[in-house]
Amino acid sequence: MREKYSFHLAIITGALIVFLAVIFAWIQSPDLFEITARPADPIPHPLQGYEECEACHGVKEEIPYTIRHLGWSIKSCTRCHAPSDIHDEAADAGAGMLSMDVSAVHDQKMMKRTHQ
Amino acid sequence: MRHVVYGILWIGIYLLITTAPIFVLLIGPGHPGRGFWRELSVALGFAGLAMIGIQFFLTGRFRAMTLPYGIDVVYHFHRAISLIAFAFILLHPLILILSYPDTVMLLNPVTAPWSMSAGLYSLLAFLAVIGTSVYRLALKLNYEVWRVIHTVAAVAAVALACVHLLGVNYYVEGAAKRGLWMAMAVGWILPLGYVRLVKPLMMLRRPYVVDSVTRERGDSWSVTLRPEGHEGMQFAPGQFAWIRIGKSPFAAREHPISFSSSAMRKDQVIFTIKELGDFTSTIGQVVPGSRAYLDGPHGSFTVDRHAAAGFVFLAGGVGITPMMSMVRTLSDRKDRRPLWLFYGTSTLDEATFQEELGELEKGMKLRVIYVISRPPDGWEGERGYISAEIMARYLPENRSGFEYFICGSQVMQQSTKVALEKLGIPLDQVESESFNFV
Repeated sequence: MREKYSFHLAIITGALIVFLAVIFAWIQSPDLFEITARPADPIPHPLQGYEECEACHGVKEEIPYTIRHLGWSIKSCTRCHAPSDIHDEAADAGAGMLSMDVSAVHDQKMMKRTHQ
Repeated sequence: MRHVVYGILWIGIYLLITTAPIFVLLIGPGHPGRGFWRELSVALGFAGLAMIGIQFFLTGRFRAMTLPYGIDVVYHFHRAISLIAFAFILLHPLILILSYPDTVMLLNPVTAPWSMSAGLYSLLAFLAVIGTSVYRLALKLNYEVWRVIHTVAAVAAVALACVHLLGVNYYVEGAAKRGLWMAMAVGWILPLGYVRLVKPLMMLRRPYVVDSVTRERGDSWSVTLRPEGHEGMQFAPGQFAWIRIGKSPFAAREHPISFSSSAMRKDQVIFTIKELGDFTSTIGQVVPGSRAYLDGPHGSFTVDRHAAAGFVFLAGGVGITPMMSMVRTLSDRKDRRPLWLFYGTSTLDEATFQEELGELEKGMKLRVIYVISRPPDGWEGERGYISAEIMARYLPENRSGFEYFICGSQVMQQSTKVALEKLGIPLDQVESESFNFV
């Protein structure tokens, strides 16, 4: 019978840990469907002419990024890193610095930036 | 009462240690959240690793920790909680991949960073630990091979998981946090050293000598050990010990075997072992005079923990062994409480201890009921398997006041528990034990 109690204790322990994990995740990211609570650093340069991110960025490249970026495809950079406002403004001013439509790859974030 | 207090204390400590990593994650400089699902995945990964790490303590055979429950119950908990911990560890990458499909690329060890590959290999090592434990018999792994795989894979899994979390370096930045995790990882492995080095060293000072090896009915052998240079072991009837036969207590070959002798005799201990394959198939070849070492006693499957008005023993095959220890002990103690022994076996010839049980029936309030699944012609006793109907024929109406002990195969245990429920026996008066630890 004590075996049954030990099984119950295992279930209770598991349930308690799931509960605490959910609380932890909730504290860290209150918005359940938010991809990132803090947007990734914006891209500090125009994209036109710099479409191949990995030409400069890499763990051991000229402008290194952290190891946890490894394994992501080249097309995924702009899913988190959006062009910075300064280039948007320059583009709006007709400076021609930004002509690539990044909203297609990061729709939600670009909308958020517009609201800000 | 002391057992209850210590029992609750250990459960409290266990819950504190397993949940601590989640609280530790929140200590120190604030980390920006990276989405609910990713954080949930990370929390489950950390907690799963801590749970697996503590498994080394659960199987470390620490007497103070196992005494309130019995080591068999602690091992049962170890099995159940391992499955839950493995589920958490499996959910860690699964949630990530389902919520962020691009992360599936991190499973490619060719392109993924080494920290991610370490995580993947750790997961595979955990899979090996769980798979070989759950399917040991189906995989036809003998106990020794399984034990080596279990130990090596478990250590590798924990080490690789630590490499993974330190490599990813999120929530573990800073010397204090990294040091804490490293210390925890080392601490988890320490019980292995205790079981493999400290305990054998202690056993070295308490050797035993094989006195005799006697053939019993049912392809079984009784091995009698005599303490050499010490007073022997005080055990409770029904308990077991890990036994190593050979010159060194450091040998990897050790097996948990129930005592079959009376607990009233410290000058000798007897283990009755059925030939079931691997180690047990060679037990008849053990030469008297050989050295042996015992780690024990362990277990809570004993009449000594219950002040019942009577005891009912339900044995299947070699499950008779701990029952025999309890019956012999109660006989030596001149215990006057009524005892029933339902002994399920395929043929009467295979019923171990048949002659001695017949003698014991004459000197104490013991009734032995053989339940034979392949009875000979003219057999007038019980046929088939132990059932509610058979038990009802022998047990008195006040049977709910007795304590029930079941030892046999998993199938036998399950069917007997169902039968006892049919008889209205409360399950908290039923103790059970398998003869396969894994």
